[in-house]
Amino acid sequence: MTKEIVYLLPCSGIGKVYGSIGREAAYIVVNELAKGKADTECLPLIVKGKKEVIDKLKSNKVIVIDGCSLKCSYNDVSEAVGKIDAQFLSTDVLKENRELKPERSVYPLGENAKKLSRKLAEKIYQKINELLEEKRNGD
Amino acid sequence: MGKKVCVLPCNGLDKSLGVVARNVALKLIEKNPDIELICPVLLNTGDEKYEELLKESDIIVIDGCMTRCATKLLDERSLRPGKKIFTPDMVKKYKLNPGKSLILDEEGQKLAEFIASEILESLKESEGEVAEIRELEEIEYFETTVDKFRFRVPKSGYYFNENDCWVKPMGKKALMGISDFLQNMASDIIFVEFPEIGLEFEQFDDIGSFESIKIVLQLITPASGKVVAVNKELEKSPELLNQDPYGKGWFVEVELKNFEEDKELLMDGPAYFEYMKKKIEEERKHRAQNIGD
Repeated sequence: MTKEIVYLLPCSGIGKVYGSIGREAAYIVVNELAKGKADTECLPLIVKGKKEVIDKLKSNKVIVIDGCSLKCSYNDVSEAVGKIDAQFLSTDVLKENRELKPERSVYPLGENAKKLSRKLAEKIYQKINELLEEKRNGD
Repeated sequence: MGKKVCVLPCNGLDKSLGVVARNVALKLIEKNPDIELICPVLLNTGDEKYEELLKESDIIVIDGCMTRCATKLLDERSLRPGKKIFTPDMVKKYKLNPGKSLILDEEGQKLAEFIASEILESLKESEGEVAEIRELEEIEYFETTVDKFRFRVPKSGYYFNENDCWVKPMGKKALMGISDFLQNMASDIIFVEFPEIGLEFEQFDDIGSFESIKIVLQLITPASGKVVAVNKELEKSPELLNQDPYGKGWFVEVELKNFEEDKELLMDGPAYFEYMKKKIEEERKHRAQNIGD
């Protein structure tokens, strides 16, 4: 039996703090909270039609993480893969934690931004467990 | 003063050398805020905000693997990079080999630092050539001739207000000057009065003047900002305003304050060309009427 993996697709978020928070959260999930249960995939590879990546996403649970209302990740994955199992917007985490207004720096991320990343990562981790449970129960 | 530079890196979520590419881009904008960053994912969505920027800039492309997504994104737009970096080549050059993790180890961090420094050095070297390049830069014009007068408007890269003054944005800085129409109306310019360096101004402020044998006219700023330089050449040779109003006859160099918003109230080359032709026609009618009276 192949091991079930949930794939995370954060937006590029380059140069923008909320996108960077989403990406940092993905790193925390993959390398720490859900090590072995989750992995990342790269958006440009998908939009450039890399078949093996798209096939992998089609047969596994997929979570998209966006940093702004343009929702690049959501839109690109919807188009290329045709399904999304869960979506997160990093600004939603800020709304729930208004005291953690992120610093402007994206490189390195500031302290509040790091805290927001972890909070987002925890939510994503919770969702991963739910999705894997669903998958085990045959959806 | 020089051509804009922007950097388009790999998204960096597949391989560690992609992460290096991305980190190089972040280091570049951290060390030189004049460099503009292009998000590969947003660019792929066809976001229009990058269109002008890409056309007006020297583009540094940084790829992290053989898929070369960043290069492909440019190819699709028939654009050529001014500089191409392929991080696997840099592994050999600097003998630093990051591990496989997408969280960069020490070697990966060092590699990104070295590549960023190399790029910044090469930009510094070319900086001295920038002014010269600007002067030699070919401008493509729309052109119309009325009687013995020729009126030109650059096809792209310049934005105009209704006061016939232009702004040519170059990253966070810009040049400002007067249009060919205005210099033609003014006739031979003999004297210029510059603003103080450091003067902060809003869009449509009057920040300087030039006097011709017929009239005194003002430079009405097409955009808000701060004066960082004035064209001292005009003190010796004010005729440059007549001879080359979009090139050597630039008036001031400024740091832009809010150009994206200011731009909404400006005309691009094609729009201004149409506007200018109507103005020329009105001017002709007005003169004919005055002669008739």
